[in-house]
Amino acid sequence: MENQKQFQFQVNMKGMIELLSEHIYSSPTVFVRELLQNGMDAVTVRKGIDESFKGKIDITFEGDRLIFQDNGVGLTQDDVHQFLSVIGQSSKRGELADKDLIGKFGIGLLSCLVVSEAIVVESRSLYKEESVRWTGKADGTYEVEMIPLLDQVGTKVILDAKKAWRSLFKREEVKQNVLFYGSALPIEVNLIENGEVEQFLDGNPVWLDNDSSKEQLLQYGKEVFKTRFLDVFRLYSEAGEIQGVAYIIPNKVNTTATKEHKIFLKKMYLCDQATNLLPEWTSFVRCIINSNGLQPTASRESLMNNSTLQEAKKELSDCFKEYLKTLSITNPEVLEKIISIHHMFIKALAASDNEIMTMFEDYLPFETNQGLMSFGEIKETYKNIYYTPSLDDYRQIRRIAGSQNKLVINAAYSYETDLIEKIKRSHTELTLERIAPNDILEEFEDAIDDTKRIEEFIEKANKILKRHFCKAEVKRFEPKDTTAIYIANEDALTSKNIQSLSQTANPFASTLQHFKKKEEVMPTLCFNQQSELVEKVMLIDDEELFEALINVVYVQALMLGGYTINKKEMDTFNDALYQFMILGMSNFLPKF
Amino acid sequence: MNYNLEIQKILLKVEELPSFSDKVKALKEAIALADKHNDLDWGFDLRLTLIQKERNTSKCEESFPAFAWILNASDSNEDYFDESEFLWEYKWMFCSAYRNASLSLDQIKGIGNDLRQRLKKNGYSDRAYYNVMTGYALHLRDYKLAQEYIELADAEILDDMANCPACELDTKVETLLDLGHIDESLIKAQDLINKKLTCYSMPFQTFCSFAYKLHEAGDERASIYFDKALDEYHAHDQYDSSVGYSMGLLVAYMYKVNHPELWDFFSRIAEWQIGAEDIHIYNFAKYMAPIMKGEGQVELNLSPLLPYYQESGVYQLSELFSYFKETAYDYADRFDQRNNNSNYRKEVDAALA
Repeated sequence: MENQKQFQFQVNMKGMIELLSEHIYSSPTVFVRELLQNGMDAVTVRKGIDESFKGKIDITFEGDRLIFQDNGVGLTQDDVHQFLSVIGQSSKRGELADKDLIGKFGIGLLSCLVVSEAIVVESRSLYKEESVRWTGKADGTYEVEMIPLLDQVGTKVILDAKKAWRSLFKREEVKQNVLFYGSALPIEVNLIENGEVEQFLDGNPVWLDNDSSKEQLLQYGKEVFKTRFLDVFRLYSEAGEIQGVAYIIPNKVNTTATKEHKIFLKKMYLCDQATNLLPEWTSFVRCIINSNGLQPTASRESLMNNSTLQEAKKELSDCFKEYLKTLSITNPEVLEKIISIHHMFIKALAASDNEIMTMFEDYLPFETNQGLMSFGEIKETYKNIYYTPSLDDYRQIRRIAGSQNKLVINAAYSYETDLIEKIKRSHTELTLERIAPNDILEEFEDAIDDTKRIEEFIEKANKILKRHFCKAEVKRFEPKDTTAIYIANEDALTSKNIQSLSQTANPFASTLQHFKKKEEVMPTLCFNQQSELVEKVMLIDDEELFEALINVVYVQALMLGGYTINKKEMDTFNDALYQFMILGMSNFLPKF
Repeated sequence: MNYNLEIQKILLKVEELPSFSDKVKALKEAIALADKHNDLDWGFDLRLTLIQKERNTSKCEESFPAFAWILNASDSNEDYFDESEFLWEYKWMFCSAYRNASLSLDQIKGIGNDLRQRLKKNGYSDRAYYNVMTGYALHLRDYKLAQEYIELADAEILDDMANCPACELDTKVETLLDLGHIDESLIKAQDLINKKLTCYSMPFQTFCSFAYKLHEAGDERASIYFDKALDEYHAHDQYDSSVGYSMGLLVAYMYKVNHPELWDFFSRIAEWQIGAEDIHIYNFAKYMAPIMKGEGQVELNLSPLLPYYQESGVYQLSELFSYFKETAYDYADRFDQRNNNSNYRKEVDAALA
């Protein structure tokens, strides 16, 4: 064991920087964020000592050189060795570090080496009458030297652009990136070039100012997102110490499209997505929010998912509810507009939230056989309201219900059935009934006169229709010239489809019966006793002619109803026509 | 309007609809149009799309008849359709076949053999066949047989029909877990744990299994995988009901550690059982029944379409327990009867013990 020696891991700084630039940071511009953050943190510490102190950051342009200077607490020689030169150790200490400071991981400054060969930091500490210069290089070496006392307390970071990144050091580019990352920072930021000073951030963004008017907020939203929003409301959450605004998108939103937000952490830009934090309804809003209490991930480009974030999510949802509630009193027109554009999302929200449902049920639009109607309108106009959760059923009922002056709601899509069922349970005074095509059939008038003849007709017709997986019925309905209608609810259509596929020759054929929703649900061909043709068909004794006529009426009813006609049915139809032709021609053929 | 345009309009709507069940409904509308016009090409493409969308749900109501149609259309119009276009979906259908308790073992084997022949006919190796047979063996709770199929699959050439590497590895890991080889399974799972191999549902499903099964075995590392599973869940924004089995495990674990989000998660996934495949209903009932043991009531925001829905939002645990227990035993018996063993009933007994 005497030969055993301990060795220290060597770190290849160049490789480390490549790792950071290629895998941890998504863009080389993050050095702007890191410098703003360091400056802001230094000022925050100084403000902790003197509350009235007014911090600022000056950014000076000298060709390809950029100088970021803050008037924060500054660094001593010891600080420089300890915090700038040990990777993974942040200079932010104690309670203040967790609560008020932005940086955490101590790797931020390395991002500067992505764009500059070296980082020069010159600093004068508030605590010591001395100034120090630290020069860190991409090869992993650094130098520290004492320099003449700087004019003011604070820190200067001097960067010289690598050839490839010179464009990032241009004034307009830096300005744009400072705005992108730091527009919410509570600090004055000045740009200095050739002695000219431009103050472009005053540390008081309009969306964080409680006194800003709605117009100001909308104007700000237009500048940031280039959209003229429908409305704006404020967001607050105690959990995560969140403050912000949500803008209502003025057009229909594609659910699959990515919606960009602006998420700030301790007033520093963090990311444009926060799927864990923003509730489902944010699909139709764009948010700008700042959190002082949530935790970032190591890359500082997303939020850590924890219980505070979950609590904050709930509080943000409450803000939205509160907003809608207020709007229903103060500006129902805007509310109606929002609902008419974004009803899909609001319905989803209402289906999962009884309070929202109760508040907005009258505004929610539904597709009906009378067109798109709000539930309020439906409730006022119709005593009996029908709905169907099946699209197939709706398509059939829509055709028939109109002539009976019935109102039928298409509740086929998600949320709609849930919503209607909930409304039904909370409004016992309303007649809200689920309807199937067969129910319409029940309401037709019964056939009259010769019961026996009708029974015989049904029996004969059933023998033929059975081959089509269908059964016969006779009723009286309008209009008189409609010979028959084909009625099949969704289950019956599925059964018919399965019946047809079960006769094929693959291993699935024998299994399909297990996928039938109900046993023996057959579509119905309902003959209209008021039709002259039907009256005559009932009198026909000739079996061949009878069969041909039933087949023709069957296929005609399928066509009228817009149903699929399969090959077998089409062949039957053609055979029937051929039969008619033969029967007709036989009248002209010579008798032997 | 020309029906082609109508179909294209529906397809645009399909993209906009947020829920996969709704996409399936809209696609059925498009299929009805294609069928009405006897358009085989549309009928074929739309049915394939429908199967792909329904695959993202816990249901298999429409896919089976749709696939039977595809198979029939392909067989009746030889050389018109390319079989390899639907062999991937065929694998799904095989899995759906054994998930349905009403299908007999002979019917399932018949489908498996047909799949194998078609794979061979189209120049694919047996790997995909062994992949699905591994799933079948796991379904039968025959873990040794599952391992044999895993070895057979590994000996075959990797081609486009084989399961994705993440899913293949997860199957191996889960088989080891089911055999009680926890440490071995954790070592095997490293590429999933470190996200070297990922797919839509991996490593989420792997993490859920680790969380639940490690906890069952009294292994403290369960909490690490629970945290990882939650991270994956949140990172994915909204998982759909196709991961119902894993979500069931997650909720069952939450119950065991008294997690504050237990009922939130339960409410979120309860409606996935409406119209779900038999195996999903069984699994969900088996994992949820123990949660409902005990006295008292719980306030939940559930879909009115659930058989145990209460308008008041207040649910008696004893009533929920009866419901889930009965459902679990009912489906267990149906599967056992079909599978000629009593494995599922024993599982429910163990879960409720």
